[in-house]
Formats: sequence, C-alpha cells, structure tokens
Amino acid sequence: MNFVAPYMLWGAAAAGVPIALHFFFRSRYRTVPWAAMKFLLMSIEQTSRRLKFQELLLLIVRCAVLVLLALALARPLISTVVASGKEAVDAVFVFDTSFSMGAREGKQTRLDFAKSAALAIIDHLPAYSTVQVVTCADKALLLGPRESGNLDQARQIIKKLELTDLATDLAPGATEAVSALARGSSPNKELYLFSDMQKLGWEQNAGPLAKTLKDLSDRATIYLVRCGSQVPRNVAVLGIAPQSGIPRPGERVGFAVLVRNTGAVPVQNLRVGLAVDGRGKEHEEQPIAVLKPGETRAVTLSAKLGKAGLRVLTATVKQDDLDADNRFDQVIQVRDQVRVLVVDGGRDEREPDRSAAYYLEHALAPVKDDLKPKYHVRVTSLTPRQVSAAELAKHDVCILVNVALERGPAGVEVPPADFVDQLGPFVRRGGGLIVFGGDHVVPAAYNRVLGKQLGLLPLKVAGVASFPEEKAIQPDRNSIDAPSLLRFREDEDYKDLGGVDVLRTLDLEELVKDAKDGKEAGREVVRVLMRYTNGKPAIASRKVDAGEVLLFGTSAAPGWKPKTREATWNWLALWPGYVPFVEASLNHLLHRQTQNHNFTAGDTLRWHPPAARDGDIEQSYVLVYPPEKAGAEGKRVALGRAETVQGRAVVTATGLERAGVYRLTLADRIGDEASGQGEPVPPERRERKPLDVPFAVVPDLRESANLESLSDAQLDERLGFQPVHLTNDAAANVTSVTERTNREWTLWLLAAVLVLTLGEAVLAWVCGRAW
Amino acid sequence: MPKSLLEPDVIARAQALGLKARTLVEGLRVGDHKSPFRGFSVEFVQHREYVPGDDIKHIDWKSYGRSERYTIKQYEQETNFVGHILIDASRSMLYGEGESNKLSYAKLLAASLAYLVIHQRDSAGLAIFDKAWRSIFPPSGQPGHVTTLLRALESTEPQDKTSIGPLLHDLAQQIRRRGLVFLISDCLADVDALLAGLQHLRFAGHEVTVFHVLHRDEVQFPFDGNVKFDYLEGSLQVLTRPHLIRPAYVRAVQKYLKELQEGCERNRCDYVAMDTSKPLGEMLTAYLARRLRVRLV
Repeated sequence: MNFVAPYMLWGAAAAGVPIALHFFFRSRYRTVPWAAMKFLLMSIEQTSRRLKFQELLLLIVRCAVLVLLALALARPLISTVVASGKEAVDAVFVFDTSFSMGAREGKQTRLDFAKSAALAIIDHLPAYSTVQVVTCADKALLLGPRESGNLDQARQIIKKLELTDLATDLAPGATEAVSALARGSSPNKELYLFSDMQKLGWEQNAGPLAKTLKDLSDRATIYLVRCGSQVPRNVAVLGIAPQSGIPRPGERVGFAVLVRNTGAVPVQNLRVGLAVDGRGKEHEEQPIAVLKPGETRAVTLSAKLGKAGLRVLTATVKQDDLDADNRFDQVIQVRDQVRVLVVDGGRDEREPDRSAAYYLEHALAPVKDDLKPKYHVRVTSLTPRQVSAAELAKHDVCILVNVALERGPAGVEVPPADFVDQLGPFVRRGGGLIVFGGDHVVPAAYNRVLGKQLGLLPLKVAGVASFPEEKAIQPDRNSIDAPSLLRFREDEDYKDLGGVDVLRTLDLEELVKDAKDGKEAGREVVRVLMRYTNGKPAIASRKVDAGEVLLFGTSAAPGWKPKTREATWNWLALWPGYVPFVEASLNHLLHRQTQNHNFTAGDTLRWHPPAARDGDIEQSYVLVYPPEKAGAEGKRVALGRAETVQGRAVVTATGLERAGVYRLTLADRIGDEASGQGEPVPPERRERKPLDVPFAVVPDLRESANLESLSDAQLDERLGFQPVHLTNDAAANVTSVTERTNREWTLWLLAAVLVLTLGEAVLAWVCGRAW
Repeated sequence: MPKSLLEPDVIARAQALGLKARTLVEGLRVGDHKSPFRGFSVEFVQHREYVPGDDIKHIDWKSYGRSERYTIKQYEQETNFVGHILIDASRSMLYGEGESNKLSYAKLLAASLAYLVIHQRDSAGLAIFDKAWRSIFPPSGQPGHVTTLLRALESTEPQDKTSIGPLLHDLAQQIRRRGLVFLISDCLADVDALLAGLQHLRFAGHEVTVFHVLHRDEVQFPFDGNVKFDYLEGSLQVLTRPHLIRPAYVRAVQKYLKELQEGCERNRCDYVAMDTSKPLGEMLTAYLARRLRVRLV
C-alpha cells in the first residue's frame, strides 16, 4: 500500500495509548479491607470471562480507531503506483475537437464548456501538478505545454483550442493520453476526457478504446467530463448534385442541395442557399418551412456558371445550433465540351439502329445531326477493333457496350490489348468508364480482366440471369442511392422507370458487408446505385482514384432478336426517360472527375499537376487555407515541390481538418514560400499563367449524422468499468477534488473511524453496565 | 471504658420493654420467668389427685372438705434464666469504620444484652471466639458481673479466622442446663457447619438467637472504580472493578442470606439481621418487640 503522507503513519503508534491507559488505570486503585471475600470471588468467577472479553474487545476497537485514523491521515492510495510522498497530479486533458463540440447551448458552444471546465480543474490541481493537452477528433495531437508543469502555458493552450471539421473517434486520443501519462513521474495520474460523449466517438474503434481506457484505469483515474446536455437542433447540408445537363460556361444549371435534419426536433424557417465561387450577388435561396427530424429534402437551386474550369459551389443552410455542417463546398468542372468514346461490341453496320451504340449516341447527343458538331457532348462511336489507347486518351468518358474482352466465337471483335491495358490508368487519372452488359459479355473474362487485372470492376459478375417476359424484373426506383440519379427517384415524371421490363441482366455478386474489398482507407469505394425489384444490383459503382466505373447489369439496347422487334435484354432504351438517364449517368462520372478536388476533412490532398503545367513541378507549392473570417487572408502553408510517385508528379497536403475552400498556388519566393520572404523565384521558373487550383473540403458528415450522446450508464457498460463522470458545470472541479480524495481511501477510512468510534461508544456503554 | 458500651438510650428502651423469654427456662432463682416445674409457690395453677408419695403437706384440705377427695394444689414456680452471649471476634468483624464497624457493633450488642439479662436478675455468660474459644465467662447474676463482661468485651481485639460450627457443638455439649444462646457474628463461615451447630444447640433445648451482624457494604457492594480488596482473614488480594460484578455479588450474598435465614427457621432459631449502619437501639428494640409479640400471642 502506498501513502500520500506516509509520515502520518507514525500516528499509528497512538494505538499504544489505550493499552498504556489500561495499565495506568489498573495501577490506580484504592484498597479496601474486605471480609466477604467468598462472595467476591464467587462473583468474579462468574463474570471474569465476560469482563475480560469485553475489555479486550474495547481495547482492540480503541486501538483500531487510532490505527485507522493514522492510516486516513497518511492518505493511502487506491492505485498500485509508487507513492512519492507528495500529492501532485500528472493530468492529461483530452479534448474532443470534432465539430459536434461546436453545438451551441445558449451563447456558448460545447467546446467553450470544455474549456471552462478544464480551466477550473487546473485551478484546483494540487501544487507541482502537471498538465498535458491532447486534442482528438479522429486524430490525436499532443499540443503541450512543452514543460508539462507550466500550468499557465497549459491554460493558454486550452484557451486557444479550436474545433476541427472531423468526426469523433476517441481511440487515438486515449492512446495518446496513455503515452503522455507514462511520461509523468507522479504516482497520481488523471485523465480528463472533455467530450459531448457522442455515440460515434465511442463506436468507431469501440474495442481498442475500451481496452485502452480499462487498462489505464488500473494506473490512473479517468474522468469523463460531459460537455453539453442538449441534443442540438441541426440541419446538415449533405451534398450538391447537378440536376440537369453538364455544367457549361455561362449557363444557369440546376443543382439539388440535399439537406437533412439530424437533430431530434423539427427545424422551422430554414433558408437553403447556393453560390458560385462565393459570389454573393448571384446567391440563390430557397426556404423550407419545416424539416422534421430525420427528414432529407432535396432543394433545387440554380447557379449561373462562369467560364470553363474549376468552379466552387457553396451550399449553405441557416437557423440551427451547429454551424459546421451548415456549409458544403464542392468543386465542379465547367466544361466547354465533353468527349465520350462509345465502344460497341455488337455494332450492326447494316442495321445500325439495332445496336446499342445507336441508342447511346442519340441519348448522349440528342440533337439533329447537323448540330452535333457544335453540341457540347462529342460522341465517338467505334467498334472494338477500331479503338486504341491513343483514342482513349482523347476522351473524358469511355462506354463499353457489349464488348468481349477475350477472343471468343468467330466474328466477335475484341479491343486491342493496349486499349484494355490503358483503361486502368485512364480511370485512375479521372476518366469515367461505363460498362454495359450484352451478349458478348463473358462473365469470367470480365472478372479476370476488368476485375483482377485492372481492379476496375465494381462487383464480380456471377453469370447472366434471364427472365421470361411474364416474370420480367424492373428497376427499383426507391433503391436509387446516388445524388446524381436522385431525380429518378423523387421526380414523378420518371415514375415509369419502375415499369421498364428487364429480361436479362448480368448477375452481379454483391460483396458481403464489411468486406475489405469494398473499402479503401475505411471509406466505401463500391456502392450499388440502383437495384432491381428482385433486390439484385442494377447499377454498381467503383471509385478508382480520381475516376469512377459504372457497371450496368443490363444492356444499353434492347438486344433485338434477329429480324424481329422483340427485346432480349430490356426495354430501357425505349423508355422516355432513357436520354436523361444516360445524361445523368454521364454527369455522375464527370462529376466524379472533380472529386480529387473535393475532400472530406481529415483526408490527404493529392493533386497531380496536369501535363500542361509540367513546368510547375520545379517550383514549390503553397496551400492557402480558408480564411478564418470573411474578408481575411487565409493561412499560407508551404507544401514544397511535387513528388514523383509511380512516374507521376503529385502534390500532397495533410492536416486539412477545417472545412472550406483551399487554394493551391505556387510560391513566389524561394526559401520561405509561405510567408513571402526569401529570394524571388527567377523569372524563367515563373509560370506565365498563375496557378490557382481550388479544393473543397467538407465536414466529415458522419459526425452530425447521429448526434445522439451516450448516457453515463451506457458508457460504463461499454467500458466495462466505472470511470468518474463529471459535468462541465462549476461543480466539476469540486467533484474531481472529492474524487481524488476518494481515490486515496481517506474518506472511507474516516468513515470507518467514525463507525468504529460509534461502535466503541455503544460497546463501552454496554460493557459499562453491570450484568 | 466499660460503661461506654452501655448507651443510656439503648438500655432505657430495652428496660422499658423488658426481656421476656419466649419459652420457659430453668432457673435457679425465682424471677420473671416461668418454670416448667410445678412448684409450691404463690401462683396457683391447678389441682391434681393425690398419689402416694406426694408430700401430705401439699394436700388441699379445703378441697377435701368439699369433695372428700385428696387433692394436691399446684402452683407455677417462677425461675431465672441463663443467657449465653457468644461474640465473634475474628478478623472479618473488623470491617467498617467507626460506629459501623462490625466488631464494635457486636460488642455494643453483647454488652446491651448482658446488662439487660443481669439487670432483670438473670444470669449472663460471655464467650468470645474466632476459630476457637478465646475467652469464656461463666454465667452469673451478680450485678458486678456486668462490669467483668464489659471489661472483657472492651479488651477484645479481632484476630484469626472464623469457625463457628465446631464451637457451637462444643458449647452444646458443655452447657448442661437449657438457656438462651445469643450468637453475635457476621457468620462468614461455613453455613452448613454453622447450621449444624445451631441444630445441636436446639437439640439440647436451648433457645438460640442469631444476631447476624453485617455492614451495609457487604450486602449492597456499593463500590466504584478500581478497587483492590484486601482479605481481612488472609493474604488474598483481589483487584477488580466492583460496579461490573455488583449484580453477581449481590446475587451471591442474597443467596447466602436466604440459605442462612431458612436454616435458622428450620431449626427454630431466631434470626436477626443487624445492619451496622442502623442504630443499635432501633435494631434491638425491634427484636425485643418482636419477641414480646410472639410471647403475647
């Protein structure tokens, strides 16, 4: 056992006092000459055993009271750490800086509560205590102070704490805290976790987190300081999806802004707005009278786009308690022209209208032939034999329709190997690939080539499923799960999609849930965008670096029976919504091409300079952060020169924890690029055209998807032990001091002393009575 | 001084009540006490028929004249009695301070009894004992005998242990004529032996009165704190906290007293508890009053 004040143990010697008093009083007596000794001896004989027992019991109790009192004053420690003889505390403060901590309760945010509670706790720490501050969202960062005993510095760090736009994962913070505590020398170790106790933070790495804290609880006292008590009113902007056409310069384009009430109460009088490149004048707003809890609403807003290039769309929503997810930035590509390569493996030169390419060409460029050269979607339709890698490089999107990848029956064309080989790099650079089913699609070949070799196939093709006309399946509108296709689910004009019969489809084998194959760095890369009425995937998507692959189970054309007008695959091409559906699919892929400009907070920015700007790679890049306040300059962070990875130059930036629009530019000075100091870059190394690449970083919306907090009992159950639960109110420091005392057993021992003293009084009274 | 044992107040009240023997005793002198022997005195009792051998001078001729039968007239003969006063002078009688000292109290009681007996023309003897007879003064009715007895009492100092039973047997064998035996003692001895001795005395026809002299402390045990009890009749010392054992002590004493009292009643002995904290006159008066009441009844 260890003690905070071991010298007080000398007080245990006071246990000898009752014994000394016993003998002292025995020596103090008066002598009485006595005649009736016979009766005296008789009575003593009858009572002596009881009296001796009572006397011994009283003596033991009195000694025990003094020993326990000495123990209590010595302040024994409940932990197994080595006592140093002083009561200083090594404390680690872990702050949850996820954006849910920005929820307002009154005029203060939860982080403000956390700061106040932490400062109050510091004020009540014993002398010579140390404090280390760790921030934790889904990453942990030890902020200092450099000298852990410098509490003033710790206070300053705490006062300057800022929120991130990350989601909560408390496991890294706990791990960092364990390391920080291990560096302390005091036997009294305390971990304070300031958080809103949001469920997400305890679920992401529940097992390791619980184990880390449970192990730590043997060596340190763990305080869970709950900051905030109310479920905030919150509406989050989930995304921006183009509603029509391909964004073109100077056009007003419709976008669906998805908003969702993730709070527990209805939110009224919302205003959803959309702006381009932050231009307030062209800002458009739509009101929402009421948004019920859990309800998702797509608000259609239009934005007038400027010149071709990367433009930043900013959707905002007002009137709730949590600001971080009220803004959603998205970089889109405004294009003059989109080049689409259609490779049709079943092209019928004699009757071209029977081939899939025919339908796709008309759907992609639904204008008269004389206008097609001016139409912004330029379609190149080739047979597998005609395509080449060079041709592929000229296009933005490639559509493979009914293409055999391996040589099969005579007459079936296969694309050249270099074309197939280049499909992978094409997609990874940001190209879009759409694969349709067809008679020439051999599942095994697709699985092997597109799947295993190139890693492009979203789902494994198990086979081809056919259905008789009377048992034909249909696309399930309600299963649509992609913002770009959302209008086909929501808009009644497209309700006929559910009546389109599908007679044959590739049997797409869905991945088991939680399979690693469908995830990349914890994020889902494979998604089913639409299903059939039998629940099987109809459209699957796989994100591959900057590009994306869409796999349609069925064909792009009806697959007419020879010399008839009877469909063998589907009636999709004859559905009136076929043109917008193809256009939406194309948009989806084009939209994806800007995804390397769109990140979620916490992601690593990787940008490949285009070939046209190869000269830049000799220069250093600077990332300009979003400004702290409107109108202010953003922080400039030097990124250094581009690195070459797998033969491609790449600029990398980490630490993008705040949402907003970042801009990548070139340093105009050598040496200290970020501050602008140092030598000017030589003119020959300067780019004629200044570099200004926008990147949109959005909050990690997992954080606000479920704002539910865990109760103390739920936390105890998850952790498997009972930490000390505190609230952020002013009593926090009092409670912690009290708890610290409890941990030292002092109160328990004093309670035992009190009980024993009362017991002694009762015993003495009972024993003092003659029986 | 011998006279100090005779408190005027005590004596006066005792004389007023008189000492009446409850039973008839033999006596050598005519006194207030009736003899069981029908004699020829002045107080007529009854007639009985003459039988040969009777002295003819006792024939009642007036009765013969009326009934022509020879009858003899009988009278009650008054006698004096012998009182044997036995006083315990063992060391156990030393307990008590001043007037409540058991031996002093016993001496005063013995002196009072002696004076009363001799003053009403009876004979009184005195025997002082501890575990044996220490001194014995034969009975005498001479007025000067009181002085002798008082001097003997005055000079008595406590010594040795108590052993009453064998001495009572011895006394029963020595005294030929029935009389009164007054035993003055704290009776802190073997109760069975004591009762056997009393029984022996009763068997010899003596009227026995046990004056049980106890100090109030010995009955009530009113001590507190740490007390070392030093045994008066030995070297034993006991250190205890008396208030803790008081109930047990009192139970033991009461049991003993009850046993002794019942034993006395069983042997038709008078048992008189003498509390030394109470005035002797009061105690003695109560005793004599009780005796008179018994007689009158």
